[in-house]
Amino acid sequence: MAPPTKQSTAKHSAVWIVVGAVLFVLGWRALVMAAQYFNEPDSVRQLCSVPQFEQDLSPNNANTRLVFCQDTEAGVGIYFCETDGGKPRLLCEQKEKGNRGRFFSMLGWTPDDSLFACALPDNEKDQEFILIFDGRTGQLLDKIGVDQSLNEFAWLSTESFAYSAAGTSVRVVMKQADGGWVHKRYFANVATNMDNLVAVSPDSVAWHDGTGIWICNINSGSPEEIWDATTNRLVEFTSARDGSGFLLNCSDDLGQYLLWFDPQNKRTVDLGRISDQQNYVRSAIWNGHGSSYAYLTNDLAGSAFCIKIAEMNTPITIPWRGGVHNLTLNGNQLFFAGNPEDQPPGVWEYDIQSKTFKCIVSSMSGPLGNRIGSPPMCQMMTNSLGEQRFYHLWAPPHVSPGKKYPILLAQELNYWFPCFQIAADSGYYVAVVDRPFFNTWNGNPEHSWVEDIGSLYDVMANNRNVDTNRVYLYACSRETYFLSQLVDDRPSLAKGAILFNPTGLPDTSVLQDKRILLVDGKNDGDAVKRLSEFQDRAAQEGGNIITLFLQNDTGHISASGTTAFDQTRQFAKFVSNQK
Amino acid sequence: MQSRLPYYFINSAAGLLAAMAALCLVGNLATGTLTQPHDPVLAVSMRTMLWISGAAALAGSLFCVFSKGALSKAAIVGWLSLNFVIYGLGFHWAGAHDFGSYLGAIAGTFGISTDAACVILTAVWLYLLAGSLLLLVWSGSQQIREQKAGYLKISCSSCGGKIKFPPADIGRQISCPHCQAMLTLRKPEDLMKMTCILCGGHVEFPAHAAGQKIPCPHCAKTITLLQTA
Repeated sequence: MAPPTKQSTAKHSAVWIVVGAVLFVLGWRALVMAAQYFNEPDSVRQLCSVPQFEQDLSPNNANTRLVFCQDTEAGVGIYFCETDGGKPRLLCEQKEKGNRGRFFSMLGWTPDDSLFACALPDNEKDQEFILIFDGRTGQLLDKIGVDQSLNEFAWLSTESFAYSAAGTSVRVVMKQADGGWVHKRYFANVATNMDNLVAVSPDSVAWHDGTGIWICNINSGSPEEIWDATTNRLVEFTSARDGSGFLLNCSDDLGQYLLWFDPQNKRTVDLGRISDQQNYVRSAIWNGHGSSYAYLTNDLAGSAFCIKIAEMNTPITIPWRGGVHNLTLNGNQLFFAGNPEDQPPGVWEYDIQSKTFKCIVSSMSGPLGNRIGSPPMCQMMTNSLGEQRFYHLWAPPHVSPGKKYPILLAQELNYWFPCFQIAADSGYYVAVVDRPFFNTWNGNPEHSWVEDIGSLYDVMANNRNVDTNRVYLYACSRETYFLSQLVDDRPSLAKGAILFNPTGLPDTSVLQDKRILLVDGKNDGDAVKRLSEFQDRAAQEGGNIITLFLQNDTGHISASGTTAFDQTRQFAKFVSNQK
Repeated sequence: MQSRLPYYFINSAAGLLAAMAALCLVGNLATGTLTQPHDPVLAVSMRTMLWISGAAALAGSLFCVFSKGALSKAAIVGWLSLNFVIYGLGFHWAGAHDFGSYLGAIAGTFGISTDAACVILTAVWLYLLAGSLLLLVWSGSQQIREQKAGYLKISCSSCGGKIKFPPADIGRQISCPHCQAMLTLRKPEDLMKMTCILCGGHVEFPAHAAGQKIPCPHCAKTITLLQTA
C-alpha cells in the first residue's frame, strides 16, 4: 500500500473542512429552529389551529336544531346539530381550491321547520345551487340551479321561496306535485341594488334599495316604496319573520336608536335610543311578530346583548366578556357565535328565562390551555375627530417595570382573532380599537381608521413600557388603504406593518428601514403582480424588508382552515422575528 | 512556512464556499413558501439568484477539494468571488441602497439581521477575492523567480511528486516534500523514463537504478525499472 502523500493528506483536510463548514451551517439552522420552537409559547401553536366560524347561525323556529358554518381543513362546511347537545354533522363542504370568489350562505328554515336551505356555488362551473335539506334529519333533498347570482333569499312558505338575482331581479321558485322545485316567476329589474330580501307574507316580499324599503306582491310583480330614510340614517334593518313589522336600526349625531315600522299602516314607532355611541350597535334582530328584539353593542366589559322579549317592558342588558361574530334571537333563546374572553369561539345559547349561557358547539375539544398572558382590558379613548372609541389592550406576559416592549396597533370588530393573542403571547403589547359598525346603507361607508390608530398610538406612547421605536400596525383588506395613508402621513410612527389581503399599499418613496409582512391569495385579482412590484420597489428604496406570502388556491378571503392556519403561522413568525 | 499559505488559503476557500453554498440553499429551502424580491441587476427573483449562487459556490468548493494545482484553484476562487463582488457593486449602480433588503431569506433562516447577513457575505467574498488575487500574484512572481534562477524539476522516485530545486543543490540529499522519502537531487536529464505496465503511471528513475525492482509510486505493485522506448 502506498504511503499517504502530501496531496492526499491535503485533500483529506479539505474534505473535512468542507464537511465541517456545511455541518456548521446546518447546525446553526437547527439551533435557530430549536430556539424558535422552544421560544414559541404552546398557545401560539394552539391558536393557529382553531377553526373559525363563518357567516350566520341558523336555528330553527323551535330552537331544537341549528345549522352553522365552520372552516374545515380544505374549505368551509355546513354543519347540522341539535341544540341540546350531540356532535355536529357535516352536511356539505365547499372546497377552497377552485372556488371562484363565491361562497355558500345560509338561507334559513321554512316556517314549519320541515326544510332548510343553503346556497352552494359549484367550484367546477360558474353556477350556484340552492340546496334543500330535510329539517329533521339534515338529508339533502334537492339541488336547484340558480339563475344569475343569488344575493338574498326568503322562504315564502314550505312550498315556495323567492330569491334576488344580481341585486336587481326577483325569482320565485315553487314546489310541484311531483316534489320537484321549478322557477315560476321572474320580476326583472325591480331594483338597482337590492338588499335584505324578506318574506312579508306567502305572497309578498320586501327589500331595501337605496334609502328606501320596498314591498312587492309576487302575483302582480309591481314594487312599491313603503318607507324612505329621509330624516335619519339607516344602519341596518331586519323584519319579523311574518313581515308584520320592520326593525330599523338608525343613527344620528347623538348615537343610535331603534324604530319599529308597520308596513300595513306605514306607521313608525320610536323604540328609543340604544346607544350614545355611533355605530357600535349591530345585528339588531326582530322576532316574534314584533314582540321581541335583540341587538349587540360594545361596552367596557367587552360586548353586551340588549334583549327585549314580549314579557318585558324594557330591554335587559346581558354583558358578555368577549367577542361576538353574529347572533340570532328565537323566542326565549339567543344564539350567537362568539368567544368568551381570550378563549376560542364557539356557538352559544343564552336562555333568557334561566339567564344561563350554554356552549352548544366549541371550536376546540377543551378550553384553550397554556395561555401565558392576561385577558385584554377594555378601555375607552377619544380619537382626533372627537369620537369616543372602545379599545382592547393585551399586555405581554410577565411585564418588567423597566423594560420596553414592542406594540401592535390595529382596528378590528370585536371578534375573536387569534393573531392578537399570538402577538401578546409573543411579547407584544397589542392595542386594538373596536371598529365601529359602519353604515354601508347608502354606499357611503365611514372610516376613521387613521384617526383611531393615530390617537391610539398617542395614548399608548404614554405607557412607559411601550417601545415607541418598535410600533407595528395591522390591517386587513380595505383597512390597508387607511394603514398606507397613515404610514405615508407619519412615516416615522411605525417600524413595520402587517397587511392581510391588501388593497392599498404605502408609498415606497417614504418607506425607510421598515419591516412589512404582506399576506394574500394568488387568486386575489392581480395580487401577485401588484405585491411583487411593491416588494421590489420597497426593497430597492432603502433597507425595507418585505416578507411576501402568497397562498396558492386562495382569493381575497381565506376560506379554509389550512389557509387560515398558514396565514396565522406567517403572522406568528413575523412578530417573533421582529421582537 | 511560505509554501503552506496557499494550502491554508485554498482549504479555507473550500470551507467558506461550502458554507456559502449551504447558506444559500438552506435559506432558499427554508423560505420556500415566501416570495422573494427581484434583484435590480439581473431582474430575476432572489430565489433564483440564491439557487445559482449556492450551486456556483458548491461547485467552487468541490473544485478546490478535488482538482490539482493551487493556481487553477486560486483562479476559480478568484473568478467566482470577482463575479459576486461585481454583482454586489451592480446593486449600488442599479440604485438599490441596501443589499441587506434582498437577503431576507438568509437572515430569517439563520436568525440574524439582514445587516449581519450582508456583512458576512461581503466579508467572505472580499476575503476570497483578495486571497485568490494575492495567491495568483505570489505564484506568478515565484515562477518568474524560479525561471530567473534556472530551477530544475525532477520527480520523486518514490511518490512521483514534482520537486523543484536550484542548480546549486545538485547532489544534495533531501527528504521528498510530498512523501518524506530520502532522495538525491540530480539533473533532470540524468533521469530515465518509463511507463508502469500495470497502471500506466509515469515513472522516472536514475540510470544507475535500471533493473531494480521497486513498488510503482502510483499503483504500489512491484515493477522492474526499465527504460521504455
